[in-house]
Amino acid sequence: MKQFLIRRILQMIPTLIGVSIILFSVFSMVPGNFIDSNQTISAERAAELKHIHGLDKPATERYFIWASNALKGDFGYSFQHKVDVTTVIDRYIWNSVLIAAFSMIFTWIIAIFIGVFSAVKKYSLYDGIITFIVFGLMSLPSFFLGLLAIKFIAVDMGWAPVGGMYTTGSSATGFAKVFDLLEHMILPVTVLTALGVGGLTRYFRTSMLDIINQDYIRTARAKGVKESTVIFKHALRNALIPAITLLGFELPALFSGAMITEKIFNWPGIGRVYLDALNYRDYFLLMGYLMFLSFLTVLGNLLADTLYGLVDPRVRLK
Amino acid sequence: MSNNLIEFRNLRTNFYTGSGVVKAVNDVSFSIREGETLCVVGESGCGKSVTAMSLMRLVATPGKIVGGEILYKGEDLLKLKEREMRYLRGNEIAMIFQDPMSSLNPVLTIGHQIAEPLRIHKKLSKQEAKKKSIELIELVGIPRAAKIYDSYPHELSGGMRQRIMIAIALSCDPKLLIADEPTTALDVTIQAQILDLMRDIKKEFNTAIMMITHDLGVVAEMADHVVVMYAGKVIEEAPVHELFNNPKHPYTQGLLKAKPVISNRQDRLYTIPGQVPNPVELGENCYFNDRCEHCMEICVQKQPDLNIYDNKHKAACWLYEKEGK
Amino acid sequence: MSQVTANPNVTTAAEPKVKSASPWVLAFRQVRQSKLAIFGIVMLLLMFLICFFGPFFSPYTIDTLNIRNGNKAPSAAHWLGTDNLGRDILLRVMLAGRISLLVGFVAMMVSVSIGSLLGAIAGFYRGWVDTIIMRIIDIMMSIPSLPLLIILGSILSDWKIPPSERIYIVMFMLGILSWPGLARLVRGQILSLREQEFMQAAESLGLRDSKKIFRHLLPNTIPIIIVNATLAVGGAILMESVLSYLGLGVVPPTPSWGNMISAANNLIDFQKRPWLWIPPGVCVFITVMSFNFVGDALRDAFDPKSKSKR
Repeated sequence: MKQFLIRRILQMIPTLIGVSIILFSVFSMVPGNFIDSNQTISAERAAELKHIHGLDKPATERYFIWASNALKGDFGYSFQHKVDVTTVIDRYIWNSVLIAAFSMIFTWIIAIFIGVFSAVKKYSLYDGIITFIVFGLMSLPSFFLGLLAIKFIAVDMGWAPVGGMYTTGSSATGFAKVFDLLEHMILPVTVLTALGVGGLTRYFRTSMLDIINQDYIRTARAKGVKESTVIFKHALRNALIPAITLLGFELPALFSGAMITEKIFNWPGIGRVYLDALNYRDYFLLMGYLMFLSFLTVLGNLLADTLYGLVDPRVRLK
Repeated sequence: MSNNLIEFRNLRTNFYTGSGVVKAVNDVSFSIREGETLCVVGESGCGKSVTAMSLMRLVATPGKIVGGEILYKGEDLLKLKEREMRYLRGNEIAMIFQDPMSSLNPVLTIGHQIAEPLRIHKKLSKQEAKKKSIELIELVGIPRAAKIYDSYPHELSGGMRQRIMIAIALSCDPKLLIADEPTTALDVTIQAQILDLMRDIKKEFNTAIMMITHDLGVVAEMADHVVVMYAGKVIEEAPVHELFNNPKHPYTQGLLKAKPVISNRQDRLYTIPGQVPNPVELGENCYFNDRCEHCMEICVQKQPDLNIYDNKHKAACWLYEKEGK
Repeated sequence: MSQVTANPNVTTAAEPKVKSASPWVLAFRQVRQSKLAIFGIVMLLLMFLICFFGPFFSPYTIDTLNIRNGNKAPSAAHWLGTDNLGRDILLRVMLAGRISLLVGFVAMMVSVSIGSLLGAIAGFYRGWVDTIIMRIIDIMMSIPSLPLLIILGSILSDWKIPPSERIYIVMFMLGILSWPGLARLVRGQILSLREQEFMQAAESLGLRDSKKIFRHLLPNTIPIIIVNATLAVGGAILMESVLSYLGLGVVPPTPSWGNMISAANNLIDFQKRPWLWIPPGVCVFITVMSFNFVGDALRDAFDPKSKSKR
């Protein structure tokens, strides 16, 4: 186990170096930067700022400066927010995690139940309708679903706030504040759940269909085990093991911030901050955040493999 | 001898496939007495496994039992509620399957899988079930039972897994043990061990066994009584000695001829010519007619009934009827 | 042991009885049985016909501006209403559809060509070639594609690329970022295929590498490629709509479904004039869903494991 982990962690290094080089090359193609696009700064001040932040040096040199700082946990300075990039990320990321975590929990619960029933009742009308809806949700552009939700649920029906995290100007505290927050979470969480539930439902349906035809399910039935126990203990447990891997892959999704959904619902998460930073060409922030996401992705892969080794008795790592 | 434990009466099980209706079990009747070992013999696809699954009422879609009765101690299983049937499964009627490699759940421990029927049917506590499970593992001849209890299926060999399957089946002292080709997937030496184990069990617990096999060696070793099936129908039924000494149906005769005998070596083994008929396109005739060396006019026109002859010997063949002579 | 396999020829002799059908025929037979796939194919055909031939039957042209007739709700004259410049929305949706479908197809072709070629090369040559390609795939799969596409899109804006050329860059951008998944699948297949006997036969014939790859190996991976390509078109259309909605993909005056939906960014248009942004959204939805239906049915049809289940 220890050896496996060390080997995998070592493998991460060249990948991350590759990622950083690609990202840096992409960003060095950006013609503008925060200082140039800000007309209020005088020419001397701009040159001075550029010097402070190393923007007057050639790209390769800038890369090494950036990379060595990044290794120390310093991803540079956000011109737009006037603080360190890490501070900006820390400030907004938890708002993203909040809605992402809620929607992840709902997504998994809904997907497991719908997927399992869809498999048990395969090719029935229920299965047909579910399959249709699931494909529909997988095919909706996120922003379009968000816009529809705002238009019909928030504006026309008035069932939920249009956007934001708290009611503007509200001075509610304590329980009332939490309630206000929850109310604002309804639509973004619903939209995120709807967008995510399709693929996972499909996954559970397919793997349950496969498992239900296995010999050991027949054995369980022949033992006189109740059908619900057959499905939820004998079969679902087998389907959940590979699904644990998916949980690892979802790690970045938990922190990445649902860019589009956050923008549509004006949710102050890291995804929206990323989109806003684009307008200011605040590229230390953009790049720091992208690097952070790539790191999470790589880490998620490692986590997925490790989790799989921990839960599956057949490959349990020594 | 003793009473009928199981009686199949005109059982019919169909499979509704894309290319048509397959009559997998077509008007099958025979019975199994208490403490008897009955072997069902036939080529693959002749309906022997479906007969067994019909008895468990576990025929998987697109299959469906469409007619007949299956009497267990005089009561029709097909009329039981699902809950009542579930009570019998694994408790009074237990089953072991062909492939021990895939018949155990890979993510549950051996102990859990043996203890499960004990907990369900005998309502044993966790500790009691564990104690009984370990006894069962020992009973089927696996050493270090306590350690095996906590292991997972993939840690055991095929032979050991089949022993575990037998332990699971025996856990609630069943009246009938259905064994669907229990040795086919195993090595020859292991096969003999498993058969010995089953014979010992039968002696010790007086369990009736319904053994499904295509291996006449197994039949000779295990059976008291033999049922031969062909294309979903019983075509011959007799006590084992009678059948081996005096096979009536040309198909059975062919099977016995196809069996190698060490004492008189031939250059080539006998094979029955032709192939099993397409199960969708069966007509009203003897299904064996196109492969039969005695085929007569009546064989392609009418289906022979299963008639009883001397020595409890039944056969469905026109050769022994006056119409055929 | 003595077994009842009475005739060893049983299985081989039985084959001619069953109508022999190539895997292709079998696959398409199965796709035909899937109602959702049929629905998908019909919808896609309709979408294509309407988008590519519909504009010829429209009484309007895209250049007829009529501001006084602007922002009209759907009526008999304008089935889907008009936009602020008085242009017919139905016509614009059809023209945008041409662009969006084209983007989807070209992006798919780019992705499929790169993916299958690099996958085949990695699987065929193994060794260091494989290591390098797989490393590149690892790296590309570690970068989240939407944020990266957004950056690339804004670079295009900074460079002030004219809209007409920009479409082509967007197509290639979408394609170039989505090939690694397919490359991995193809590589896996090629790795196992090249161990099979027919390849040893090809080896003994002394064929050139390119012939081995293109004649013998890649054709065997076509099922994977087709399934992947079908789903990739849908994926690319979806991505394009997101980018264009943000103003970073296909930009006006070239209409695309995505940039038509960005009309919703205007509060009044969003609330009072849903005919401006709902029709293109529905078009994206139907098109992508249809591609998903077809792709899924194809996957089922080509997958030998799922065949036995039906």
